Amino acid sequence: MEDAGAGRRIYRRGVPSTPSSGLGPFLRRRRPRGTAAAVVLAGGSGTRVGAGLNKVYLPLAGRRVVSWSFTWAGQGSEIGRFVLVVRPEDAELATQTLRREAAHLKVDVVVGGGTRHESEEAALAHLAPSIDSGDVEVVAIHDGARRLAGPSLWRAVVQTAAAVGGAVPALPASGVLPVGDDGHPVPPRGQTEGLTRVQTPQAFRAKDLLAAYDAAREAGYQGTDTACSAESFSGLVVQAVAGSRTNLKVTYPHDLFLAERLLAAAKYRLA
Amino acid sequence: MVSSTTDLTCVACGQECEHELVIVGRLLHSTRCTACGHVVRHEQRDLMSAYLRDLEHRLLTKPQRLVRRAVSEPLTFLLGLPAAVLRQPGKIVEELKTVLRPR
Ligand SMILES: [Zn+2]
Repeated sequence: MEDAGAGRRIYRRGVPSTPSSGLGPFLRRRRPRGTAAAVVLAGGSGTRVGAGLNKVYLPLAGRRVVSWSFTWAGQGSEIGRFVLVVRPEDAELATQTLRREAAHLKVDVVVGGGTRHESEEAALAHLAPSIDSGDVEVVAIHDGARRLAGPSLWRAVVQTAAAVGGAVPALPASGVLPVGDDGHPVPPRGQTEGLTRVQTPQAFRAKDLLAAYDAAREAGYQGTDTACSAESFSGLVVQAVAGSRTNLKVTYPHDLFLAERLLAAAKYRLA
Repeated sequence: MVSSTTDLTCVACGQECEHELVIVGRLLHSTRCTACGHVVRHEQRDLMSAYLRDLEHRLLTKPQRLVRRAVSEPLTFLLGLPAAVLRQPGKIVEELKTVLRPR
């Protein structure tokens, strides 16, 4: 258990440590909340080369990238639980950021593991009591570095997962070619139709997802993304929903400038 | 003006390495690759107009943001308010100097 600042609860494997403070919780807008949980992964890839800021905490148009994710996720009525999975060294920054920029939402901060799969496991372990009781029926897991997943994308994956079992945002992989050993693109042989680029948030029926991760752990399996583990260890049907071209990861400097422009053009309100 | 660093992939040297970020207000002013020094800047010709648009938006939404902070953290808000008010003019002058700085 780790206390990383007042006003926000920090959990390690599901144990609360600090109470909320301020008037926020009492004046928070009351409205019926849905039975889906939004999990944002801010664990990083573990391959960072410098001592700089984890990309999910970069300032972008006045807020940190991670705060935008919760802003969009929290705009619909489908999602009633919010979980941020962090690295231990980022816990205090995460707490301060959420308190300042997402005070209208109650976000549980959970310390994750060294890999993406372990961070997903930590989030599911934290949500397990609510999943077992039926309070959480769908879990949507999002990569925190994807900064422009708007409310409609969150809604689409949650509703599709509730209806069919699982949902992933996908885009046609047009313009993407494999690169050969000489570093040059290899022209596609045969059919390229149906190739897709998969994004996040990826949503699944909660009980099946929890069971799939239990089975994966027993088998010593670590998936590269949520859909991969869910499909390998459950009978869930996973359906693609239309992804968004602006929902890209922050990789190059230009991605940051582009995100800023897109947000400004949308008057800081994504569809 | 705020400076920060993070790992990005440089378009000039191709390395994934630390980049320095300069942020004015809510606007990303420039990034610099610490390996090769390559700088990516907000386009100079629309930097000033983008900054002024952003400043206008910040000033218009300031009362709303102050109320939100006062509600969520009343004590911290009241204690920090005098210093925050005094800092504002200097902060904006610093931002303008950065925006107007030639390449
Ligand atoms: Zn470089």
